[in-house]
Parts: sequence; structure tokens; C-alpha cells
Amino acid sequence: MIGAIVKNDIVTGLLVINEEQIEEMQTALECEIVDAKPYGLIEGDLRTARGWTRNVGGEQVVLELQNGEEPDSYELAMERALAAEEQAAALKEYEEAAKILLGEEEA
Amino acid sequence: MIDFGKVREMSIPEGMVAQIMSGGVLLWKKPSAGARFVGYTGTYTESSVEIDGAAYTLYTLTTSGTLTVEGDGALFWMCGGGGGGASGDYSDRYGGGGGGGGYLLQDALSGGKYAVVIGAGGAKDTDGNATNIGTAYNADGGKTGYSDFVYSSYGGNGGSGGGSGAESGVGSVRCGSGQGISTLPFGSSDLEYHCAGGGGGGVYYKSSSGSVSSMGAGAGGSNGSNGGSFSGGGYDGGAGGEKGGGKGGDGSASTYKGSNGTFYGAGGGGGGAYRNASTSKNYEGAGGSGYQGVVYIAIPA
Repeated sequence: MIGAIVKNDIVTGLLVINEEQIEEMQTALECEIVDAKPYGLIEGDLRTARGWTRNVGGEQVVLELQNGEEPDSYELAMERALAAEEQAAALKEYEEAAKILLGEEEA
Repeated sequence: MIDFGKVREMSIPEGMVAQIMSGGVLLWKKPSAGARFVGYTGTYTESSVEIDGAAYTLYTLTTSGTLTVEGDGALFWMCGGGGGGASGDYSDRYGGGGGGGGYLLQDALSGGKYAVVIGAGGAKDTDGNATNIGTAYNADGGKTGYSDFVYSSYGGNGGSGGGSGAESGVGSVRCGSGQGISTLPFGSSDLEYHCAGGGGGGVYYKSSSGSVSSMGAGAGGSNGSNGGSFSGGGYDGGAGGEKGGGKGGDGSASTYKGSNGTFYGAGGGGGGAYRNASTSKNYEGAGGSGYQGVVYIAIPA
């Protein structure tokens, strides 16, 4: 797993570690080691009463739990295009069915 | 042999051993206590390698833990995690710079017990993390690519430099710097190059008048070299450096995202960017992640 090295509530670095070595490394490095993945922690992140936060443009922004890898703008656009295509196909099917029902077209 | 009958007093030089024999004193170089790998609590593998013509047992440490070595004569080689590639930016019209490979360090290791930290690779737009042996030895992670003003995109510095991100409209060298030393651990041909730089991301820009200004990105550096500069033609992402550097994302087609580094210390590729000023089709890819660091311990066989 990727662990975040936490000292005084600040992430000072990320390390590769097996769960079995967490306690031993916490003692050796005099720190706390937490799983970096849920919040995508990076060096400099700060733990506050509001949760994990990151300095973005001078402001501490609260980090959200992450669900897998964030899609980029192209992937989002492709997702939207696919959804629009499916919607258009469904609409076309509905129109054809409506024409048949209204007797404008034979089944 | 020194004639004992002629010498009443003598000093023994440091590092030498004296043995009194019949008729004289024999001096010879004190033998090394002999390094011995006692154990490691993290994940490691064991293999055989040749270094400078001599046989060594190599221990490859890939997760953090506690290392115990006895005696002198061991060597170590280590590198930090690779830097993440920078993301592309269509509004400022540049592809992201490639992540630098992790920095490397090699030295002799005295016997002792050490906390070993294996640095993780950097995520997109972030630096790689340092690898440490105890508090005395540190190899920093490679740097991520970055931009300091509109149209500019630099590759990250590191063991090998990241490739320059492509820029639309400006043309200067913005590759990341490498350490300038070989990234082959112990110079052993039994091992492979490490710390490759990630390639930069390409860019494609079409103005509202229809003129196209696209640019290919620089390749990631290999074996301690700087990253490559961007090229004038095309819009392809730069190739990753030798052995595991992530390829940069392209400035067109569906491959905007930079690839992740795939070998120890390798940087991630920068993301590509596409902008068409007369349509709403503007895309930018995220940078790829760097790969984790590693520690090698070599003990004379």
C-alpha cells in the first residue's frame, strides 16, 4: 500500500509499505502512517477538525473521498457523448413506435 | 618479514595487523570483518550479480522496513520515486511536462540497523517521494513538470530529466535536467537502467481563423541525461525515457492522458492538450504517475 507519513498532522511524504510493517515504521520514524489512497493524500496535506485539507491557491480545501481515478476532460466529454448517443437512439426508437401506434407506419 | 633481532620497538600502522613469528614480525592488511545481510522486515528478493568483475549477492528492497547488516564491505544503490507528469492545459495551450526520474545515490554501507523508507512515485502534478536509509542517506524523488506562465511547460528535474511539454506559440527549450551520472546500479551490466524521465505532452491548437499551430513534445531523458526539447511538427506526446519512462499524452486523438512510469524511479508522462477556438471541443489529459523508488544492497559473495 501507499502510506502517508504524518507528523504534527501534516503529510511529510509517501512511502511504499506492507501493513505488517506500519507499527514498526511508525516507531522508527516517530510518526503516524495512514493509508494515502482514500483521500489521495500528497505531501503538504493538513489534517484539521474538518478532515484532510489541501492548500489550493492559498485556501485550505477539504478533500473528498476518492472513487477510483478521476476522469480527465476528454474522458468526461466521451462519457457525455456516449450518453447523448444512447439518448438519441432511445428517442428514435420511441418516435418509430409512436408512428406505428398512430398508424402512420406499418409495424 | 621484519628481522625481530634488529627491531626493539615498532608502531603498527592503522588498518594493519602484526603477527609475531619466530625470527620476525609479519605485517599485513587487516582483513574486513566481512559484510553479512542479517535480515529485512519488508519485501525483498535475492539474486547474484557481478560488480567490477567480482561476485556479489544482491538484495532488492521494494517496500519499507528495517534492514540489519553486519560488518563492513556492503554497498548500496537507491533512488527516489519518479515524479508525476504535469497535466495538459488547453486554455493556456500547452501539453504537460514529463516527470523527472527519481534522484539516485550510491555509497558503502557500514554494519548496523537501519529504517528504510521506499519512496512512492508522484501522482499527476506532484513530485516523487524520497527514499532513505536511516537518517544518513537520502535520495529525493523526481520533480513533476510545471508551467510558470502562459504557453510554457517545463519537464521535471531528476535522475533523468522529464521531456518538455509542447507549447503552442512559443519555442524555447524547457526540458528537465538529469543528474548527469549513470542510472545503472553499481555500473553492473546484470542490471537495468533506472530513473527514466517521462515524455512531455503534445498540443494541438486551431485558431478561430482556422490556422493550426500544433507541436510534438520532448522525450524523457535516459541514463542521467536531460529530457528532450519539443519538436516543431506533429502533436504527439514525447516517448518515455529508456526502461519505464511514461509516454506523454498526445495533442489529438483519444490519448490525451500521460502514461504512468513502469520501472523503479521512472517519471510519468505529461498530459496532452487540444484546443479548437471555433468549437467547444477543448480537451486536456492528466499527467501519468511516477513509479516507486528502490534500494539495492550488494554484499561480496
